[in-house]
Amino acid sequence: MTLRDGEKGKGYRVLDVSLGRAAKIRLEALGMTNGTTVFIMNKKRNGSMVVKVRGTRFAFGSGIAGAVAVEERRED
Amino acid sequence: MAEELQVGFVGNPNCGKTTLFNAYTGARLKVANWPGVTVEKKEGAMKYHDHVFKLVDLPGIYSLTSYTMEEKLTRQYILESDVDVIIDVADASALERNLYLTLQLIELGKPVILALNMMDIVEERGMEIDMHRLPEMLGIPVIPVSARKRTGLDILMHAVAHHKDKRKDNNLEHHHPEKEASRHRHEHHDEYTVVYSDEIEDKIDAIILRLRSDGKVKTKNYRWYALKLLEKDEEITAECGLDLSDIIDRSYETDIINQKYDFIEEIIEECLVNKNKKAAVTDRIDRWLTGNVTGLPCFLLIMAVVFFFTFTVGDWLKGYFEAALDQVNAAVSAGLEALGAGEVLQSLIVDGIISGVGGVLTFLPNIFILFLALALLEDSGYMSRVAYVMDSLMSKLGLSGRAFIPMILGFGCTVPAVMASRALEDPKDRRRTVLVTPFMSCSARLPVYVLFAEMFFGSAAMPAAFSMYVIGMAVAILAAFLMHKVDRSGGMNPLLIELPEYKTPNTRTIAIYVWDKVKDYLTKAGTTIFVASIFIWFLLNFGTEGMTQDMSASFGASIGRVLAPLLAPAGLGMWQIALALISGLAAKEVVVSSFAVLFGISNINSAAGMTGLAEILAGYGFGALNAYCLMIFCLLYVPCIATLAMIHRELKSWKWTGVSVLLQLGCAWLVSTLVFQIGSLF
Amino acid sequence: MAEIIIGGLIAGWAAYVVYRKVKQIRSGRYCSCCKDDCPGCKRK
Repeated sequence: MTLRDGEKGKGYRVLDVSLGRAAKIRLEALGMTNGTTVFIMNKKRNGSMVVKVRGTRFAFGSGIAGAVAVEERRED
Repeated sequence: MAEELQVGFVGNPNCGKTTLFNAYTGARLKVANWPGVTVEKKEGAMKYHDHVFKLVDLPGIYSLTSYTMEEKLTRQYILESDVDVIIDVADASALERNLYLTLQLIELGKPVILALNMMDIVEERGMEIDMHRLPEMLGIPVIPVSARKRTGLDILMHAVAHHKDKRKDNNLEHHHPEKEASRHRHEHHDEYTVVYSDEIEDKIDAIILRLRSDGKVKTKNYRWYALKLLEKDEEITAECGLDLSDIIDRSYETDIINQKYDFIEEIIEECLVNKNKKAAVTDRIDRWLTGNVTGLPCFLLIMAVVFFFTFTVGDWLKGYFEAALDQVNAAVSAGLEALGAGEVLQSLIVDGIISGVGGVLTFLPNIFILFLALALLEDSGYMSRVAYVMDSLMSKLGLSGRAFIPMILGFGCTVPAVMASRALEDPKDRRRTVLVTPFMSCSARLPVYVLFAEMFFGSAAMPAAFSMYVIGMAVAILAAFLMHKVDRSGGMNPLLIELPEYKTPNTRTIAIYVWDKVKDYLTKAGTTIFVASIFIWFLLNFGTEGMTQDMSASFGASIGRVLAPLLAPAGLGMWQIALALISGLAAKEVVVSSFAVLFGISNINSAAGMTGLAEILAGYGFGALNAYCLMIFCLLYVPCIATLAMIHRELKSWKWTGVSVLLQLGCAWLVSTLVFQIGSLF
Repeated sequence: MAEIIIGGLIAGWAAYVVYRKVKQIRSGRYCSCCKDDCPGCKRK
């Protein structure tokens, strides 16, 4: 599943990011590396969302959300 | 003996770096979360005991790759300039993420000092940072500061003064207890802050050996160079030119990044106590401000509140200005009489300059409140939320939420708004944003709204004026939408923006910013509006036969009469109005000045002035509907020359600048005519 | 006499303002809000 399928209020672990190199590295620099936990704080119907990664809040659009492959995480 | 030290300020965006820089240099630097604001490096100087520090503020960056201008610039600066010490400013309350840059800076090899900013927030939250262990693990001095509360500033500079010659503190203490024993040849932990896996360390050594034996590459920091090659950094790989494909079989970028983060996790484990678990206030606020249902209404509500204050508080303060203007008027008139000045000069000064400039100056309170409100919103951190809230709407227009930020800037002044469109990557999106931003009502148009709304709408003045902002946004969005339909191309502009923690706006920052805007306004009054008023006075008092008593025989009237018929369908078919609108090319406030000069109103913003003007206008059949249409026309038609010049510069083509002008004039005419025609039916 | 001085001052100031504005626009600094920290002004 990707972040785009995720639910508000839940945490997910990042498996892979399939974006162009530049965007991928940018996300990694912001802390979204493989294995990181991402919390979805708010999510819109079109897929754009606000997430918390390593203690920092980001907002991104559905394009990015759809490119981050994740799995569910069972802790808070 | 005075020693000069060059100190660079580096750090993530939103970590308070510029506030800290300000605190030392007292310089006027705008503090904002918007992209493209702190792009160039700023310089300042300060004295510390017998040292002279040259301070350089670099743009906010998340890492040191070579993908963006800001990163390349910073990298180049650190490696190639004479900077002696780097101050890495980090937000202590978001340490985990900020450390990524810190590690990269340390790897560059120049002396680094970590300034942990926002320590006051950390304390408030009940978090604790082990200030003994952290410098040990990082191998660099760590100084807690609070730019807001101005604590720790001296200690930081003290550390800078002493750190210059120490390449690295020798008390790096770092163990990997649970990791398997390293097979790598060297014990790097005493020397380097970040130690990678054996595989990578082996490759680093191999590369360095190759570089050294080849001899062509000259660098002060081989390890860093090797790491960059392993990451397949574009700039370095191109520069290197050596074939190392046997060692560098693939890009190790992700591995290196992940290992850095592994180390960061270790640091956080050891050094951060009581990680904040309860939902921060920010999250709570964001639930409302970025909620699906609540986000947009909240935004409109906040906007409405802003303008409410702009009007009510602004009006209350205005009374004093009006009184002052009356005094000045009386005094100058009397003075000129006493000096025996001729009628022409008296008229020029009183009817021209004082009416024109004075009329505009009395709106200063409204402008002041508007900018104060915008600054508060900006500094508190709300503005980035706006990008998110508007993103779904923006994407229907083929733009990302980020495109909305330049538009919001347009509420202040269209010039920086147009410039901010550079933050968008796709040129077509940039162009669309530039074409559409002028519809966002700039602050210079506000005096026109205030004047006419108060003259003709009485108690409904505020909603009438506020509606201009709403109409402006609606037209902007509609125009963007139509353009998008016509030309569906244009890249996907993925929204990616940080939402910083909300904070109580910093008084000093706000004060500096608002004072800047006030000074600009005053300067504009004393220059552009001054000259424009004189020019208009001239146009209105001189005709083909020399000086005229009757304005309708003046040059100005002739000019106005050419255009008046075109404006008639919009209820604006008076030559005076046409002339006033033309004068708005110099600056939108001049429209107000023109009315003052045109109709001989000495204190146009006063109750007496307004009543007088309303009566005169009524005599021409000009009533509330006409006034509303005038406001609409002013909202949508061409902006001032300065803005047009800026638009031309951004669009880089006369054709598109022409399109812009036609678009504005067309919309202005169309909408005001529609409103007038339909309104007249009732 | 006073008239000439006052008139002269006004004319002089106006001319100076126009001169400065033209110079400003030609050098690429388009706006009075354009200061050192304005990104567009220094960016080429």
